[in-house]
Amino acid sequence: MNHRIKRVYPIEENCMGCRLCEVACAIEHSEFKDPIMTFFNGKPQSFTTVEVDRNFSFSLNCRHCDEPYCVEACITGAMHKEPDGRVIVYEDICVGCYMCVVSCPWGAVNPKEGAKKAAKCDLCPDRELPACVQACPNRALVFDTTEELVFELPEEEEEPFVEG
Amino acid sequence: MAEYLIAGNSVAAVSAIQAIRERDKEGRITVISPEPYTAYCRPLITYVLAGDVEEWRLPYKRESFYQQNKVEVLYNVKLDGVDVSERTAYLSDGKKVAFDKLLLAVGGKPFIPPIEGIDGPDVYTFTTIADMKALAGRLEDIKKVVVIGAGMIGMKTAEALAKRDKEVVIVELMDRILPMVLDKEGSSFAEKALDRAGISYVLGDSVVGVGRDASGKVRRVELKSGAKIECDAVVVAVGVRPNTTPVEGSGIEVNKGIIVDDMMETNVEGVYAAGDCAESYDIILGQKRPNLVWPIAYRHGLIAGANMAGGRRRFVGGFPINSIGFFGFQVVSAGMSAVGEDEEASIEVLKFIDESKGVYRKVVIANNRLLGFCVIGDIRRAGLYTGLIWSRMDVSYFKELLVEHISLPEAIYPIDGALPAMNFSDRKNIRRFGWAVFPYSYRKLFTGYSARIEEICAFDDKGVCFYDGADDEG
Ligand SMILES: Cc1cc2nc3c(=O)[nH]c(=O)nc-3n(C[C@H](O)[C@H](O)[C@H](O)COP(=O)(O)OP(=O)(O)OC[C@H]3O[C@@H](n4cnc5c(N)ncnc54)[C@H](O)[C@@H]3O)c2cc1C
Ligand code: SF4
Ligand code: SF4
Repeated sequence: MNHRIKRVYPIEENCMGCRLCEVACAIEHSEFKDPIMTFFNGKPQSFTTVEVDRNFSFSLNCRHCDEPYCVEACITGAMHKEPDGRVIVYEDICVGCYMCVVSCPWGAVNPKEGAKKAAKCDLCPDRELPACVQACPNRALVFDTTEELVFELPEEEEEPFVEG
Repeated sequence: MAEYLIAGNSVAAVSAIQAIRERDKEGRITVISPEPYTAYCRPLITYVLAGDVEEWRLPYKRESFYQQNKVEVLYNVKLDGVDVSERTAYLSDGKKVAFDKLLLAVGGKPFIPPIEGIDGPDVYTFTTIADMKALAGRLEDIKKVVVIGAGMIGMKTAEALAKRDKEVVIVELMDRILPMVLDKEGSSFAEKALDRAGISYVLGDSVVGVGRDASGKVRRVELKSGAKIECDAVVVAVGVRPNTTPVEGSGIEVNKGIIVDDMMETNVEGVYAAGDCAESYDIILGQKRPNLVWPIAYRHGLIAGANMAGGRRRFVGGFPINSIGFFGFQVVSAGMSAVGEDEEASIEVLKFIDESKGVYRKVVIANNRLLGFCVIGDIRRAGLYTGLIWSRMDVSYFKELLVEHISLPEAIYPIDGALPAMNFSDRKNIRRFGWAVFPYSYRKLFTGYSARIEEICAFDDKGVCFYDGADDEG
């Protein structure tokens, strides 16, 4: 098991919910790699989701789990863990059964827009920094290994829960 | 050098092999495979029958997997019995094999109800490549098929046959389609999809006889109601039961399936069971039961394999997880999803239904915890519910959000393409179900790590997660 792979971690204290990460992800993973073309001709789909609950937000994507639920659930072996730790889907093997979609507790795999395939974060293999991390103007997404991040996390007050 | 013997050659066996090899590179692994194939994707057989997937894609693992992991596979032999005191296994070819550790991963077997005339040609089950080939080989002679059972396998087989231009009639004993997953209301969505595709179905009735002509060919089935349906083949898909035949009389404890403890070990030391044949802890029912689904078989094999090779891993528990699509209908579900609204006083059922969009979401809550869900149509991010079942978080203070607004990216990617103006002052009013509504410490715990949720949330005797949302409310 590789606990030291780099992953994208959200820092919710920094996030202002601007959703630039979603836009950047959708562009990076469209066939056009261009904002206008992506949103008007392509089928924009972001693999990271900005979660919003009134006054705070953060951007959540795939955890590239050590023992991924999605890989265990995949009935074809299309969803698999690469030797480098990334969890990715081979689209040509995937049959769109969506077992992985129900299984991922983070809601990080979803049906691909306009195709019977699964789609998820691939940590942008063609880039040094994933597109979402690079796009974030607030350093609310970091690309790092687990251990380093845990030491970096600021000690925050528990956020009071307000009903209503 | 340890001698590992694995009976069965499917997903549970594969994950066990991987787990054993992670710890023990040397031990001898022998796999017994009655079927002449490497491990294959069992659920894909309906896709192959339908012609959607080519046959070469059936293997789940190929020969190279067994070579790399130094596994010897004995094809075309079965496990016939186990002598637990001598620690030997009896094979169908008459050989005896000694073992140190034995894994029973013999899967399930289709249940065939006692129906008059059911024994004989033209009656098929549908769980193996051999079954699929038998039916595929006869397709030219078949015009009309009766499928008994509207469960997962029945519906997928019916869809495949319809795609091959066969007339199909589905007969289901219960009053609904997918009775283990859907309630009557959910079933109406599936029924609509069947109507649109022109598939006939009979609900609340059962087949009591299979009528054959003088040459033994199937000609019709008779229903309990007295109706008769002409057909020239019958597919029996009323359910799969754990296969416990190989261990009968061996002293290995069996209930509905082979009983295992949380290390996947049976009552006999060194003998493990995994997958469809095993009966393991269900975190929703709080008791052991067979859960015949792929992800659980994988997990079982992984834990059993690790323990066989000297590890100490615990199977925290599981619950059924399903996803099925046919004739344009798509449903995902987990846990207890078929219970009706007024069935039990202690169970609360919340629903959101939008008939025009074909959207249906239902959650089942008891004791403030999510026990199951079912989502039809738009299944994006449905896995979030599965996470709530795993963690057993208190959902009482956002339960109305659970069905109304699952956190979706549609606000930024509307279906019609135009980007809505972003109004930051609106943000205060946005409240959608997603990780953001979970308590702060809980969120941090899971978004900062990549470990299994159920393993981080240790369960106490009552099966309740100690890391529980209620702690944060004060
Ligand atoms: C048509 C179909 C569709 C399905 N679709 C889904 C789905 O969409 N999602 C899902 O989660 N699950 C699905 N399932 C269920 C899923 O396939 C099983 O849960 C899974 O295959 C269980 O794996 P297993 O390793 O326990 O055993 P199995 O896959 O049942 O394999 C058992 C193995 O044991 C061998 N064996 C049998 N008897 C003996 C013996 N006496 N000695 C030695 N070996 C023996 C068999 O040859 C086989 O290799 C589907 C099943 C079918 C049939
Ligand atoms: S998709 Fe989900 S289950 Fe799979 S690796 Fe990512 S977070 Fe884990
Ligand atoms: S949708 Fe594709 S990747 Fe997901 S479980 Fe099914 S086959 Fe595997």
